[in-house]
Amino acid sequence: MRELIKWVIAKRDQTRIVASKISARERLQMVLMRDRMDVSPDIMDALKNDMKDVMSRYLVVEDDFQEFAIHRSDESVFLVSNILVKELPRNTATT
Amino acid sequence: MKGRTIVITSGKGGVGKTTTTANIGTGLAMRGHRVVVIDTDIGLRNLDVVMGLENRIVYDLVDIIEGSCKMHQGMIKDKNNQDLYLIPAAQTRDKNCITEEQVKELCSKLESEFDYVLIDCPAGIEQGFKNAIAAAEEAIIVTTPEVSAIRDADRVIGLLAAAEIHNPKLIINRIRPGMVKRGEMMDKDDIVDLLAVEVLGMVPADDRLITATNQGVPVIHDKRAVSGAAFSRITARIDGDDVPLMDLDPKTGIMGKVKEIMGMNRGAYSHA
Ligand SMILES: Nc1ncnc2c1ncn2[C@@H]1O[C@H](COP(=O)(O)OP(=O)(O)O)[C@@H](O)[C@H]1O
Ligand SMILES: [Mg+2]
Repeated sequence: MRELIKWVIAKRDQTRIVASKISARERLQMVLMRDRMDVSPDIMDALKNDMKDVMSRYLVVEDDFQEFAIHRSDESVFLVSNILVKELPRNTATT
Repeated sequence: MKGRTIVITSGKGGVGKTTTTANIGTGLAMRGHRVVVIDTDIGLRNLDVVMGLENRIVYDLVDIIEGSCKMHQGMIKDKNNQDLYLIPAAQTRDKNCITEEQVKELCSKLESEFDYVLIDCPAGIEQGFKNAIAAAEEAIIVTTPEVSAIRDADRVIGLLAAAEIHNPKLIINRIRPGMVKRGEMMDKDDIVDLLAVEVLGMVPADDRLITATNQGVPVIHDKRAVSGAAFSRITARIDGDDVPLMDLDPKTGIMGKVKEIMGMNRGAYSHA
């Protein structure tokens, strides 16, 4: 009888303990994903400037973005940017 | 031939960088190489005590860099190996008193005299880290099987890549084979999955490492220590030997269990 109780306790401990490694792994996975998606301010600035350059080849845009940021959901990362277009050149609209 | 400059780094403190530097340095010297180990943890000097050389310090890294002494005056010869030298960190200076350029210059001089230049990096990712990696062409990252240490290791891998130091090798320190076996601790495969780097070796948590360190003798000298054996294997791999990784599993079976309970299974692991 005592053996049985010991066995049950050992089994219960084992399942609880197994969960500890798995939760370490899962938490790490999440935290690494988030860390790796972090973009440094320098890179954000460079990206912003490059995007403005590209846009101004086709459009006349406001000097600064109204919004320019990385947004995250559980699974994905979005770049959300908003800029006021001041003028749409006729030739871009037609071709 | 020009020597290899390798930085031993981690991000997180207390994971075993200094211990690793002392043991790999000793191991490479035992294999007949000329080795210099440099403590770049300015203000928190440690490598000297781990190697048992604290009473021989006259000059330090900053003295050499500032020219207050000649390079050879600032190098301390090891007690056991005449081909092993230590350049200790300055204790009462600030890490900003040396620059990355100065470290590079010193290491390129050392590379012409030594086969290996090992750099013990301070914790963190600030100037001390930058100084430590400045001259390195290769990196060894030390981690433990814990969430925080692995996260920091990942961060450091990114910073090393940005500094053009690619393919760092990983040492997983303080593994407890019994816990891994019971699923209480992440194992090599979990960590490799997450970090996507090559594993150089695994070092078990070992009481004998602590007693050796107490005496200022790198544990690689202790033939009976499992951690010492692990460091020997790691040293051989660095030196180009093809030594396969092994499981750290304690021997199973009833006698293994009994020994484990009685704390007798030191010799029962196979070493990584
Ligand atoms: N494998 C191991 N087993 C037992 N103790 C260890 C092991 N590795 C390191 N230690 C101990 O952990 C502490 C921190 O190690 P250290 O090498 O100083 O880390 P770091 O240089 O990364 O701060 C020291 O007291 C050392 O003796
Ligand atoms: Mg240290």
